[in-house]
Amino acid sequence: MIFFENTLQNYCSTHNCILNWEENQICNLFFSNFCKDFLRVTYVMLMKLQCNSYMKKITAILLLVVAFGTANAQYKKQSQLADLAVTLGQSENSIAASYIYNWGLGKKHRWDLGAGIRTTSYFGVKRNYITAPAKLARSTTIPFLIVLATQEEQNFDTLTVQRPLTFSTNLTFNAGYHFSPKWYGGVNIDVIGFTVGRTTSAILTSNGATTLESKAKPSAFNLLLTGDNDLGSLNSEFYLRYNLTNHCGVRGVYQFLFSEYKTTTPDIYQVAPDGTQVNRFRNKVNAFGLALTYQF
Amino acid sequence: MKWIMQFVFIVFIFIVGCTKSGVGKGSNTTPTIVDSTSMDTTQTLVLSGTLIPSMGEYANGLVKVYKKAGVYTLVLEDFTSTNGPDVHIYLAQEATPVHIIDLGNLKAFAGNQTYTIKGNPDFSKYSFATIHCQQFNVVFAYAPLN
Repeated sequence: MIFFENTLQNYCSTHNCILNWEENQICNLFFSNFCKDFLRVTYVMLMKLQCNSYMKKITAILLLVVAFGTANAQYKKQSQLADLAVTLGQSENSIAASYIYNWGLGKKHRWDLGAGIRTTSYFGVKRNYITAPAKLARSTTIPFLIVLATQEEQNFDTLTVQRPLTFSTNLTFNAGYHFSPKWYGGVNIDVIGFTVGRTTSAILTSNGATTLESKAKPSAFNLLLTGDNDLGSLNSEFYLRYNLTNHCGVRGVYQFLFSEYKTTTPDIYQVAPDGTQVNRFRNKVNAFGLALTYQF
Repeated sequence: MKWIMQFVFIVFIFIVGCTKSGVGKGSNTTPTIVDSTSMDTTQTLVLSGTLIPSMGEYANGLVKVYKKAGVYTLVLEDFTSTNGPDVHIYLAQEATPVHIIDLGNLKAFAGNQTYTIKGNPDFSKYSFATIHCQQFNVVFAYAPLN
């Protein structure tokens, strides 16, 4: 440590530079007290000696945070979290409450794998749902590859659901990483569960004809099968959490949510080019939000 | 606890702000319009009917379908209606609409008004004109076209 500090002091006195305000803030934000001095020195050396461009600085910061930010931190072997997330989209919103049990992995338990349960309420006004079955919506239905498959837009018909409101409860998988005692990033996804919700009217525009469906219902069963193979309403999040205290944190959330409605009136369905009758329609929601996390 | 209260307050503001925006959309401020299309003597009257108000809602007036140069237009005459959000006018095959041709949002809740009918619908099937609140699935009135 003394070596680094001396090196830094020598460098700074020679080149007449000091930590500017932003650099101080970044140091304070990311680094725990225990290793802050060491990291501050390393960071500043990197900034002043090697990095010129803005992107290089950002890269250096991320590398430092990942590689050294928690060099001396030890994380819980097991943890339990309760979470409340709110996301806002265009004429559609969601509220999700979840409970997660995480197991720490690795020597210092910086990696987490967890399972839990989540109830997501999704609601909106006049949302367009498109043809859901994967064999019509995508060029391949092979699990995982389907995510990269091209969309078969010529098969898409639209069900405009007037007032969608669903409550889906699903088992959830979580994976995350402790960047530092303060910062945590991760991803979670619903796996299996059920949905209840409001029966509402909808307008089906299919093969040039328009029909009014007065009893569109949410699909009851949810199952993760990857991409458009999925059934029902499933929520997933990419997130970054900042721990305000040992127990409480806030998360910034990017949400990707599938919501699925079905037509129920006997004569109202899409007839696909291959003759298949389709009554499942899906809305893919991209939204940002905030969440409040309590760690037991 | 202070920051929890701040977080809850921010979320509340987001939600309230969003709700108000949604409610305002399609609200009931459309003015009365008077359209002189129906007074065009070069067009031919094809069908007409009188609006029958549905239970609990109110819409009155005459519905006329004109044809001019191969293009059909639907005209509401002496039209008055209670206000509502997201109110559309359809040609429908049934009095309670299922198979429809959506002519668009209602232009006004009172006055004469004209709607262009795209294509060449089969009026032996689409034999009703319907005023319908799409969002809440409420029929304001329908008119059998003869």
